[in-house]
Amino acid sequence: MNRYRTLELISAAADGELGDAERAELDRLLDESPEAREFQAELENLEALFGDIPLPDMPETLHADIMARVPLPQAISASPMFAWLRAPAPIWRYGLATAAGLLLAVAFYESPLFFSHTGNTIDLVGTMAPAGSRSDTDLVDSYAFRSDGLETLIRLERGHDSLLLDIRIDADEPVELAVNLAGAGARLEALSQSESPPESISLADRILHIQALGRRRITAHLRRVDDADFAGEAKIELELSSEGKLLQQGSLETTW
Amino acid sequence: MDKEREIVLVRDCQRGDRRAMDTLVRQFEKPVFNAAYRMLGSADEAADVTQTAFLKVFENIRRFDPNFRLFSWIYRIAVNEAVNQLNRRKRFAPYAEVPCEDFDVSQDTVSTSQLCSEVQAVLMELQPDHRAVIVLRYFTECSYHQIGEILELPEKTVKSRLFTARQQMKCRLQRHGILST
Repeated sequence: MNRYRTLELISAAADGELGDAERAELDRLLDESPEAREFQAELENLEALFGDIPLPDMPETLHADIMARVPLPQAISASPMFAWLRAPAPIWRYGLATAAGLLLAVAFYESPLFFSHTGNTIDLVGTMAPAGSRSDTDLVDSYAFRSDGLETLIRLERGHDSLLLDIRIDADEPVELAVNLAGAGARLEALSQSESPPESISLADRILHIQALGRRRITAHLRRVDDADFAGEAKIELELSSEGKLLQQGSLETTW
Repeated sequence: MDKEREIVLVRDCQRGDRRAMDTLVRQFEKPVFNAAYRMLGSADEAADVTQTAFLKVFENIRRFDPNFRLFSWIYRIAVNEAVNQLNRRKRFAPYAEVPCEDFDVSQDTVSTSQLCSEVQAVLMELQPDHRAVIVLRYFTECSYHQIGEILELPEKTVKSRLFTARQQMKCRLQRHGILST
């Protein structure tokens, strides 16, 4: 008997790597050789020993720790399409942005032509939040989508008892973004925008619908609600579609 | 996870979809942590290595070669990271050959927790490259081909290294009284 061949076959059998022809060869060797049977028993014992070892307990926070360290998407930041957002803005832009924001807020409350409030309008109670409040927020999650002629970047920032959704869309064709706030544990307090307003914005059943064409940016200010059913994990679901066809789904998550 | 789902998951992660990233982490965090723990013998270090491994996975996901299986690639990163951690530690026991005899398991003499720590202690006596094949074979149930992909070794080398590692393992288990002669 070739001892090396015997050990190789027995090892392969123990590792589940034996073919039919080799199985027949091994069976013959096992019939003939007490030494081969002994070696096979050794490997079976080792297998049984390892099988008795329980899995180590994974730390409960490991998943959250991993996700907290996962880098945020960089696709958009590398894109020239959003270079205009990164460039330092002249002072008149800030003035224009503030004026446009005020105009949008007024339109939000006053004009049924611009906004269609078809659902729970209690979400809209509140005041315009100043853009400067962002210094008190931390970036906690982001969502990016890019395809031909479309780039979207949505950043979720968290303050003490508020969330800020910074939504940027650059679309060659009309797109609709649905932002589902039902799991956010927050109500929409105000909307502001720094450049051109979206084509339309509506809120229905805690879902914010934004239709956009071209380069658009809007910020949604969310305020935490006291809700006995709310578990403390804020989840905002996103759906991006074009002409009724779903392009991408995603979510932004954090905890209060 | 089948290959098609894997491709979709990787593509979504490459686009920066946090939900896909979350799914990927949930899919592999336990086996990666388990492998890291077996390589390092320390839950704290295994957790650190697991975090770093996933960080590297997402940093390099755009360069993932779809000819490989995703789990092989992730395990490769995790095992390499565990070996790096061992090198940083620089305090594992010196390796020495031990004469070997036949053995049987005497499981009735040790409790499961004792057994667990004894086996881990013996595992830590092996050289890291031998430990890695034992971990991948017995604790993550990888095939020769998969171990070869993960450790970037030919299958023939995997077989011979696994044989040597098993012999070393059983001799040490025997010496520690975990396996009887």
